[in-house]
Amino acid sequence: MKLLTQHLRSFNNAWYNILTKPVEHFINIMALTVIIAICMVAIIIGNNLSHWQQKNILHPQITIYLERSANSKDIARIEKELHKFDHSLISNYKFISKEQALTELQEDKNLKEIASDTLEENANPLPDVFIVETATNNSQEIERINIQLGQLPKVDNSHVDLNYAQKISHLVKFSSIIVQAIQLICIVLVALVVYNIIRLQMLLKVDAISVSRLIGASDSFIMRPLIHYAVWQVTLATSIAALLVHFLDKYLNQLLSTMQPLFGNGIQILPLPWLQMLVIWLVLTIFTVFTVFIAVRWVFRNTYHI
Amino acid sequence: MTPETPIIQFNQVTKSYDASSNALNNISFSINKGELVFLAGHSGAGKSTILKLIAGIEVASTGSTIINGIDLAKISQNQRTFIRQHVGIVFQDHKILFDRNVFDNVRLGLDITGLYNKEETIERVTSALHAVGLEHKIKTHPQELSGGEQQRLCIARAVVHKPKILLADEPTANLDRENALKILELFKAFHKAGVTIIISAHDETLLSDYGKRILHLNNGQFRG
Repeated sequence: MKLLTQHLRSFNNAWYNILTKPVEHFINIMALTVIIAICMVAIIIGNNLSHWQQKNILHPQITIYLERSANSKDIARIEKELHKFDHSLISNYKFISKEQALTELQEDKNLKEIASDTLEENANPLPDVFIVETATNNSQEIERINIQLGQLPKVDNSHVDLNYAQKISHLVKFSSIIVQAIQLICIVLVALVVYNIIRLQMLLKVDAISVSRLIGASDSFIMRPLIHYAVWQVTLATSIAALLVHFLDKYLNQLLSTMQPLFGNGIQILPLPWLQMLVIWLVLTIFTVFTVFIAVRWVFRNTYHI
Repeated sequence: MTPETPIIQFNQVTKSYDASSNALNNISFSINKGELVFLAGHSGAGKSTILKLIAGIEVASTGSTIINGIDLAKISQNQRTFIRQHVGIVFQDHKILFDRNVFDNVRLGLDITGLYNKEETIERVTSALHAVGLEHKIKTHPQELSGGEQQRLCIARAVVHKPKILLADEPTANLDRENALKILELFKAFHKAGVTIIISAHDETLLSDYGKRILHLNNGQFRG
């Protein structure tokens, strides 16, 4: 009860201090907001890259091009062969008929000209295709499946771009390392800003702190209001950063939706999940409390000798 | 603890701030519970050092300082801070905070203990200010107070949490005789209430009328 009362008093003082001197705190909060927003953007980029990789190139795809003479019976036979593969090797497949491929070609703005030439010739040069999704990253296994599929009757050739998938995978891994480094830098920057805020606060209140120490104030009595002061500023900055990032995400998604026909596929930037936002706040709060502890110790050692 | 039990004990205490000289030199004394003791001596005699050692603001270089049965050298700095919560200190330079009013200055003495709710705080602060005659200046800022009033404010802050020991470092130093006597009367009243009081002063003419024990200090040692 005693501790709760003291925290409640420190909470009230912190907000009173922030609200009665908004200009004084504006720069601090904005600096924290910018750093936290950069951290959130980095996490969003990381999340989206990983989502994109999982969705598109988690495992390499094998494209099977059928001979132009292949008929429905041949297609059924190939499907039967694909079913025979273990699920740990082939997870799924999709058949794209030559007619469907041509329709998609005609709908594509960039490839419309080629499609119209094809139509003029009144012949469809496209083959029937199977897109096979593998379920393994083992390049030897994939190569074996590729050869096996290429030897099936009425298959013109089968193609797998292992190199491309590996390159993308490495690129995504590298990007996630960069994202993690940015997160770490942001945490260090937040800690430095908080450290400076607390140091200045303590120097501003040098009289009150030294008198309090002389008449028996414990470290926690002095530290508690400073912890509240810093934690609520970080909380405020995190909330503003979350709102900014949310609106930025919304705006970019609107922009991307207008560009959708250019790419043919729906591209969307996934927002930062609330749970992840909560984790960011929690991590920053823990670091803030730790930083206040270090800052107070430092100022005590260098300014007060009681 | 009987009235004769020592609440403060100094056993062969030496305190040095630098290698060249000792502020206190191998002194021993004890003060009983409820006693009023004056520390007399010229500036630099070691009066303030004794008070700082009792309050745990400083630690003896050698010897032991035992307060209420606790050897201050054997406890941590943070634990010594808690000891100060049971000691009232009146500073020579008042150490009043000018960024807050009289009420909030006195209240600080209660806030650091964290034991009192809002109603108790108001009641105790009002009572302490009444005891020193400043109840009508509760909302006043310290810069509007006279030297004597500032000293009384410092006393109110020192007694608001009803300490067992009250230390006063030259409480009459910057006051005229009339105000100095008023301040000493205040201490006398607290002494009657059972508080152990140690007052340091360099003007011994003020102290002689009280018929209480006077410890004379000279260059860090007791005289006579």
